[in-house]
Amino acid sequence: MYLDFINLTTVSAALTLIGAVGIIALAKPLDKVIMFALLQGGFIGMIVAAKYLDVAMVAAIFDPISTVILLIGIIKINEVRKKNQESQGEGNFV
Amino acid sequence: MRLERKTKNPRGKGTLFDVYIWFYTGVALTIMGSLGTAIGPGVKDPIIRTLNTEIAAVGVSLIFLTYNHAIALLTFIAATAIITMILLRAIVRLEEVGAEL
Repeated sequence: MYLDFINLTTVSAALTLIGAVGIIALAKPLDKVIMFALLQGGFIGMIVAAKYLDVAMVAAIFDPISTVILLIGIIKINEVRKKNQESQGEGNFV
Repeated sequence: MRLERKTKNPRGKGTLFDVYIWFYTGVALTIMGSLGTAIGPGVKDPIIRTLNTEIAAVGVSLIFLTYNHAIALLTFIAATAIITMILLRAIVRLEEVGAEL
């Protein structure tokens, strides 16, 4: 069959490459985090294709933790920058 | 049976166990990720630079996977998550203080 190249490994590789290109090309941090989730999905698929299910379990535990940390950091740095801008504007006004 | 399969079809071509796809994807991700971290769009922002380093980390993990280094892979995944946490905390703290990054 000519569709023999479709298996877990190739689909995961395609997913990983799409995620990597998306992370580099998109500019906003939130888009980057979404594409990072895609990248991690492809990575877990490849570990499962290698039959290292214990490593896949660890990766599946740590990936959402990393995503949540990134989201918290982005939100916090956004607040800090907004606050700094406001205080700077007030200083100029006074 | 495993030995027979290994000697007859060492790259695992046409099976689920296609080793070379992992290796080449890992190399491509490592090169793309490091170039993106160095000269990608918008890397003046330290958050964007930190996010781009994750690509290179996944690429290195895939190369570990090719060589069957399971413990190295496990440790590297955990260490990447922890180092992301520390790095982001440091960036936010420096931004609060108002330091020139």
